[in-house]
Amino acid sequence: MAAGTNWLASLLLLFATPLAVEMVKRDEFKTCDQSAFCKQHRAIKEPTGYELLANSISHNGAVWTARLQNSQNTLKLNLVGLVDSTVRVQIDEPETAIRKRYVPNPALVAIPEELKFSKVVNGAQEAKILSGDKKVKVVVTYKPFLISIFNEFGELIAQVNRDGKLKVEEFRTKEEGKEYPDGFWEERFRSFTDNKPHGSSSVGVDVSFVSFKTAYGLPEHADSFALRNTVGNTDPYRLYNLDVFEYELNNPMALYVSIPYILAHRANRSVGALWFNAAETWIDTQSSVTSKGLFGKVYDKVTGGGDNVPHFDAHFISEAGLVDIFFFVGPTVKDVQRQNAKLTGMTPLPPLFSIGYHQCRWNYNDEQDVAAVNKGFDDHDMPMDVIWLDIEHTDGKKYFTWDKHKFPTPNNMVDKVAASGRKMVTIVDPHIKKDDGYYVYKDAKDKGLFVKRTDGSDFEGHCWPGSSEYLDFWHPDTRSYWKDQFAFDRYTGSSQNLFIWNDMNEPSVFSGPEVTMDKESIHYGGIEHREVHNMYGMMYTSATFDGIMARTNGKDRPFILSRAGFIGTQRTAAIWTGDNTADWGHLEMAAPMTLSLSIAGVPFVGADVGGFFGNPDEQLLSRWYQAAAYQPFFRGHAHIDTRRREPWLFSEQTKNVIRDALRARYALLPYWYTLFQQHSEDGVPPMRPLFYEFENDDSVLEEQKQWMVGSGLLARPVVEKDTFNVQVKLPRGDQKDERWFEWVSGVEKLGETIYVDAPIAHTPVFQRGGSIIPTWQRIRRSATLMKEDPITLFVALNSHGNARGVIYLDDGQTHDYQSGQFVKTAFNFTTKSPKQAVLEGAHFGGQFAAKNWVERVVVRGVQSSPKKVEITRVSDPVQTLEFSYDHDSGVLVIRKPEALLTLNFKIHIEF
Amino acid sequence: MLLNLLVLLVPASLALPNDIVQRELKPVKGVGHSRLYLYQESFQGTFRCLDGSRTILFSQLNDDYCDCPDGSDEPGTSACGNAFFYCSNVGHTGNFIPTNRVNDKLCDCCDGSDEYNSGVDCPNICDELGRAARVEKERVSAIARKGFAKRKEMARQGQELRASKLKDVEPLRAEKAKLAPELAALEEGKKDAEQNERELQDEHRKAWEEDRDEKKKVRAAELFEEIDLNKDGKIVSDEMRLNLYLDENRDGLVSEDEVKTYLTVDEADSEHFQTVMYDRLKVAKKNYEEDLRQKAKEGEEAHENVPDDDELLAEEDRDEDHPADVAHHEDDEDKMPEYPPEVTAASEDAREARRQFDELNQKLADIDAKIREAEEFSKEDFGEDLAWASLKDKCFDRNVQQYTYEFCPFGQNTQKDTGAYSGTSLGSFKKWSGPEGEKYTRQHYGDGQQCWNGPKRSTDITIQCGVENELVEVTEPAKCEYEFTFRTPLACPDPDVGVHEEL
Repeated sequence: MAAGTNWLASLLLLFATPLAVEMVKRDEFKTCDQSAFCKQHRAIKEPTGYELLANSISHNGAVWTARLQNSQNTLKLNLVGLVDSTVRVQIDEPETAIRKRYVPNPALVAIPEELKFSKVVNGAQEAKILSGDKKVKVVVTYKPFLISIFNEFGELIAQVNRDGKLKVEEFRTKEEGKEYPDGFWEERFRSFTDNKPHGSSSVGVDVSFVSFKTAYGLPEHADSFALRNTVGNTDPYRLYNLDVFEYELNNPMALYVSIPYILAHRANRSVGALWFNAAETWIDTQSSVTSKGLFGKVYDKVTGGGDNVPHFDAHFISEAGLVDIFFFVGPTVKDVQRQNAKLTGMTPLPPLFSIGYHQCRWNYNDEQDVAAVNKGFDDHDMPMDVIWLDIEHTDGKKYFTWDKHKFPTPNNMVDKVAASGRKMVTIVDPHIKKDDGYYVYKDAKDKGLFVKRTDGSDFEGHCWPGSSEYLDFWHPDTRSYWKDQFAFDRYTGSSQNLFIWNDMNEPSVFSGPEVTMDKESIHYGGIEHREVHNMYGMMYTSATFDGIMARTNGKDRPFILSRAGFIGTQRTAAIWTGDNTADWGHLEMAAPMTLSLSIAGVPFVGADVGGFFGNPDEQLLSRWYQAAAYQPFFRGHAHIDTRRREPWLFSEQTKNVIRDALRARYALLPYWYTLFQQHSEDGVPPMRPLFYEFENDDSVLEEQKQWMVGSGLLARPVVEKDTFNVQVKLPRGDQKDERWFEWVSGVEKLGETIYVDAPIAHTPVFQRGGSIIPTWQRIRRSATLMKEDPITLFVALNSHGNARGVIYLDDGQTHDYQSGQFVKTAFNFTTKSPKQAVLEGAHFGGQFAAKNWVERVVVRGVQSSPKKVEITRVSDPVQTLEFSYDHDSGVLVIRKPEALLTLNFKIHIEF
Repeated sequence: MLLNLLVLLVPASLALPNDIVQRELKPVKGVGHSRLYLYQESFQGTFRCLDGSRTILFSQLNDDYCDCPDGSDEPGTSACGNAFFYCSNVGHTGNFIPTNRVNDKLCDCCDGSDEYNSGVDCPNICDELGRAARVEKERVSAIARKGFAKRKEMARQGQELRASKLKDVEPLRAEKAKLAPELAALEEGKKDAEQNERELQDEHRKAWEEDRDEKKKVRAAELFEEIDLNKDGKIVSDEMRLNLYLDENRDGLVSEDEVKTYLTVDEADSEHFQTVMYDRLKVAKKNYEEDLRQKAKEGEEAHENVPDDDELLAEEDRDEDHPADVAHHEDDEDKMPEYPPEVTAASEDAREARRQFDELNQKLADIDAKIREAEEFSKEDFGEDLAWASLKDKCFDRNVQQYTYEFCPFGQNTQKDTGAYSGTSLGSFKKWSGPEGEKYTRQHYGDGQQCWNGPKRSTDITIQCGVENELVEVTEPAKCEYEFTFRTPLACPDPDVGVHEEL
């Protein structure tokens, strides 16, 4: 932005956007007290008194149905058995309802696969229902109405409505003269009025995770990883996708993403609950301890020491939709993750470049600037895969267009960047500039693709381009129109090497209530925005995804980054934690936020490196690169008002630290890529909390400064200012025999809680004994240029002298892997006797003619120097390999086995 | 940058006479001729890492596995992370690339030698590039020659300018020394004249004040007499109440309370009357009379229903005259009479003395400024040959869309919106900021106008050789941080001094 326009721009910004002040404008966003339905539900103290009418029970295969009644109304309960230890509890208005309540089905992979109950006993007081796989038992108590869920060990793990907070406000027609509660038909906030033509239609119920103290999830909040007690302390956690300017840390205010999912965990047991609702949602949480009697007649099934049982309670409150909860009964945390993933999907294998490093700024000014940044990384020998263009690249914030002065030859520019094996990303937001000369606006207007006001006219709001309209992604025509916009011949300047960033998709409306869309706005089919608000961003990115798929007829894998998200977002987009700030608190918060998203099913996540707002000093920037190198999505980004911060603009030391951090990331790309591939099969996120790997260790439940990358690496980057020595917890496992090795030096670390030196150039990372981690040691200009490179294996021996690992590779770009064009090779190191060990490589999947070969094997935790190392490759004769052994570190390096990943091999080590 | 590193890697002491080495050397991939002697097989069939840390089999040189910690065993493969590959680029210029660019499917060497095993066929374009480079080199050196000629001229101008500025300093100093005593004398004279003026004025004022106080005493005594009906030399409440002008609330009666606001003692003697009461009574009396006049006027207006214009005018005249009389009377009492001629004459003398002093003082200040400017000019870093001195106080501009950018060497840079009256400061000269050895290739300008939500504006200037002085590029890489590219003969090197040849 040029100097002369600054004052004008500032005025406009001050007027139109939440930009301008130091901190989040709290009073711009609602508290529970300012939200009629939240206030009402939160105030429920006495049970609402529902009972199940025994004579209403019916059962058909996987669906068990009954009526619930209290003095207010009658409701319909559906209990649905699903495959893989999953149970759905649905409470809706009965068939007499005047309007259908919205169920966010597009968030699911498909219609959930039902599994007939294997046994149903409808007794006089209660019904006992056994799941099809006989692993889940549900007991429904009639009076008072209570649902209790038991796992395969017969342990009570969850209850619904034990505290009697069930409340469903049915749709109404206003009756004159009748009295209604505050805000029932109309609600005001600041200068905005929200009309509710069908009355208040909120739902709420309490869910208890029995015998669990600790629970996680409900992203996205800038708060601790383990959920806190909001009851009696703060507002409930709020889930309402919002564009919050300079968000604050450590509070339950809503942010850009809403995933109403809770995972409760204790030693070796997990349970997950997904509140399937796209409306504004508040969750009041509390971890407490109560005597067994509280849990009803089923108390004898409650496990846990003595009479006092811990339980984590969550009171879910939504403005519309159903009471609709999926319970993932586990029993282990990885089972729960898989069960959730089966229902809501996984992130498909991302293209290789996208897990490399991304360089972004608001804004790279012009084509020369882009070329200079591209060259800068080469001149300073730093790997980088993607250069991003923020909103200023467009002609007046009209997405799909280019500023003709600054970007006169976009194709040429992208081609030049692609010539270094790199990609570019441009931003495309869902607000469409109101300008008849803009083809997207014109088309959408003519076809009627915008979200509507209640009077049928198009909804209008202010965003970057000024007056804008918002595409309605519930409209099938919008989705197909949007898909077409990404065709290479439609989007000028686009190519196979250009990918898409979807921002402002909460949606952000500068002129709207709470900086978003009016709830009374209307989507296709008469859906009210209030019913679907939280899924707008997901509906948007999924339409973009379809477009990026379609432009190569499904050949290439899409990459899309989104700020807003909902259940199922992971199927089409990566998520970053939005507009963070260049301070230490935000660096530290990046881990709990990305962990929270990861466990809630969204694994491709990261925070802006360096912090979006403000200028990081060199220490902060150095530490940020070091931490982000071990987080899934790795992008440097900065606000337009900040100083330039390309890595080479700093001191020699900082430059070297950043280069090392980038190289550390690129070395681990085969490992990350393999983890993402595994995620696409089992749903387990590459970035994991410690308790995923050490399920029985109660001491790591609150851990959020260190995390696991896969099962083999533990990262504890320094996120504290002026800190050069950190405490690290190295879990020793159930058998107290886990071994840990420093990632870089290979030196074994003893002790459960250790202190390690972390000078500015060092990132504390540890390899777990028993793991084999594949790496690339030839760090080139971009990931794409490395994909055929040889592999160095890091083998860390466990206490039995064994280790295992896998590598997955393919062309890194296309969907050919779906037809077998990939390679999967397992590595298995076994110590057979004190005299003999063997490392086997077994190619066990895919027909991809990968050129990669193993160039080096580094074995850690070796007691003594071998006498001889030999390799046999398939039927080739035995060949002796050179090796070196370091007594001090116990590290054995086997030189050049030259073993192709596509062929089996055995390396024999003789001591 | 990378090249500099390489220079360090080559131990100069190992250099052998070229003719001997060249005959015997076997080629090694990625190694240039000048370094080939470092890569020859020993009699034992080994190769010693260049850092001396290890000795490996000669067959392990360039075998696509990194054995040497310094990467020196793999100059021709990508196996080592810290090594360099030499592209010989026959027909063009040889150069080093990091070995991580070897066989990465991108053509980096113009002879294509870096992609010998990646399946990518890189054509040899060195002849073509070499020709183009030679043409370019010739073009650049032609510019440099022309530029350097101008630079010499500008250097001469700069040196002259500096010399002339410095030359002026001595005469200025001499004049300053000559004028200084004159100024002192004038200052003395000014002081005396001012003193005289002040004294005469004081005398006049004092006389008037005494007179005024005397008059006041008489009037106070008159009024005292007037109120002191029983003439006992004391004024009491009852006597006061007879004076209608004390009727504050205008109810026709002077109440006890109304009296008390003036008479704060039981009885007032003439001393008390004069010091405490007189002034306020005077005012009360004046106000009362004013009111009476006002009432009388209103009465007349009420009486005469349709007064004609003449009458109104007459009335106005009267209204104006009357208070003016009163005011005049009051003024007489409170206003000092004008100074007599002897005092005015003294003031005139003082004014003239001041004028003479100020005039000379200004002249000396101007001389000081000139001296200071010359001194600063001589202290300013105008480059080794002082050529930059010729650009001081000059400005160069460039239009970019609706803006005009102005670069004023050693001054202040600005940005002006078309049609805007004044510009925005993009910073004033702070320092030469080129890297070591190339100090005069960059300048930094700082402390410009503060940016909204951002820093103070600043400009960094990149200086390149050109035939003309010309601002050729303006960018704003970060908000309010500008980058100018300025071409000038001043950056053109002496073509007679051999350009440092690269390896």
